[in-house]
Amino acid sequence: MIRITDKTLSCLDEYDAAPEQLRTLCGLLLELGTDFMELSVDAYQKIGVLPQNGRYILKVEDVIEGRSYPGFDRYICRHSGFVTPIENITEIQVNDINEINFLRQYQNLTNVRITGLDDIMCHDYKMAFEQIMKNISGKIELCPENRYFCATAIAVEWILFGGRNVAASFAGIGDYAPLEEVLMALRLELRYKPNMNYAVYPHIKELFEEITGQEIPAHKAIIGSNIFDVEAGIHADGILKDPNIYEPFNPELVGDKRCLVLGKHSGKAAVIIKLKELGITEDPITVSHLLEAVRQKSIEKQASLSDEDFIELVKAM
Amino acid sequence: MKDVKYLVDTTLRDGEQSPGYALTKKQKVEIAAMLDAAGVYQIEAGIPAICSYERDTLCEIAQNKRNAKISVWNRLNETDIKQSFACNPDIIHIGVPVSYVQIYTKLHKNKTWIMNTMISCVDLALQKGYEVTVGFEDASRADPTFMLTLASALKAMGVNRIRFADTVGVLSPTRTYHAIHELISITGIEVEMHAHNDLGMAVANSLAAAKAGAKYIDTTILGIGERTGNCNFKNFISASEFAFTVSPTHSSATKVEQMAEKILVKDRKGGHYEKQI
Repeated sequence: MIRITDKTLSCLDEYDAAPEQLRTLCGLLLELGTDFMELSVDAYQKIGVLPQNGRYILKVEDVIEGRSYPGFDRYICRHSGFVTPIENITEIQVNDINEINFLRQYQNLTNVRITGLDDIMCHDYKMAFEQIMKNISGKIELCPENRYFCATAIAVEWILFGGRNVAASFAGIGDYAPLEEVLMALRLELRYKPNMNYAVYPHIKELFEEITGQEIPAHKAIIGSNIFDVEAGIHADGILKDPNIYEPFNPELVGDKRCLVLGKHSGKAAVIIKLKELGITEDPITVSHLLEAVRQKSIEKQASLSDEDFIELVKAM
Repeated sequence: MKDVKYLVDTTLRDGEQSPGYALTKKQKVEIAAMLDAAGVYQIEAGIPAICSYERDTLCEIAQNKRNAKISVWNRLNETDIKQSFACNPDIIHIGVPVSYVQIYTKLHKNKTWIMNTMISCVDLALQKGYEVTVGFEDASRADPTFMLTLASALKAMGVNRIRFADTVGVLSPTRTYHAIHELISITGIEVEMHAHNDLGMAVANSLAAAKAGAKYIDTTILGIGERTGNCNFKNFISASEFAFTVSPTHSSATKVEQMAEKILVKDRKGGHYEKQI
């Protein structure tokens, strides 16, 4: 059974989030159907009473601090001894593949999270996974970091290799694997479908941007605002015939929708569809001329055309 | 001694093709010159069939190039390929749809049509003396045996390299490795990996392909491209330096990215690529 920990609420301490924002974010993240949600003490204190439908992990400094906050399913802290309570997860930082050998000393711990391993995909990662599993007999959760842009792949490959537990964070905050990518990759690769609602992503994204003050790039995998825009003639034509041709999943699944954009690379099919969308009828000769005008305008503008730009071109025909 | 891998940068084709980008001739020529000077092996510079403006641009890029090979992209279509001849590229690349959804639903054709049309298009370009590479579009969702048949036919014709395109970005590293390894070990053809970032795994999948024997890796500056973009040029170089020898170096790639960013990003609202996360 796959278990996913959402670390988002333990990565927001440096931002001045209001309690209400964190409460709402917590509720929305729960809809994604992850197994555990990890909070920092600061986030927990701001949220107060946690929603009952979640299972929570508190990130603490050490085992003793955990005692001040009873009632959590798990507590996580950096290594603080070789004998720890059963509900405690020991977090061990492994900065690169060469440090895996050091894990032997933690062999008898029952619950371990390995954080880091940024470079593992650049090497023989399957051999490294095997070594990790040999070195630790207890439950292992992998929390890959993203220095080499491979954190999602590490999380997914760990599960495919037979690992059971991974940790990730929304949009990869904290430089971890982006949760939304891990969830979608597991869905497509293993048909892993927890009781989830991915259509909440736009709401999570909006709130996340408010809290962090950082705009998510428009082309960010799964949650970018422009990822379902289509302009190239060959792609627009294909998507109109069957979206499955050029889309890895339905935009509605992630609360988005596709958008036909006209520009330098558009073809006739896209112009015809845009005309239909705008309720304009034109003959085939005009469509060819319009296409030329669209391409020229797009090059002049060095960008795609807005609907208003296109309507102007139609009027000028 | 590390294996050498060759970068094929497609910023000016697959990158520019994504919504929001419409580069001028001057801009494309400038970016091509940056990539060439940095030591990129091949620059996929554009699509001649788009319009005469694009063909003029491609002619100038081909004329100005110093060390890089300049390639142009074509649909599986003789008319398009003939338009490429006017641009005088080093390589003519022909995109061949190979998945059933592309063949039957998009083109309304069948496998025999694909095989025959591919042979006649490739032959047309080979007869003119061009180096030809063939791109297997949507290869990650295609029937492997059909791809092996096509690859064998191409090898027999004298085509040395095929592009394996994960067109909708759904591969994982394990699946990438197996697919590429199988293609190379059975047909002996050279493979170029073309990854998309829909699941955030374009760099990892490109690394997996390189480990499986792919000699060429496609990238774009800032990772621009359809939907979520392609394998990011600088990021791939950064991750691959552990295992492979790649040109340009990370520091040259950083400089190229900084210079090209001024052209590519501008004030395009909603199209920012400031950092791929």
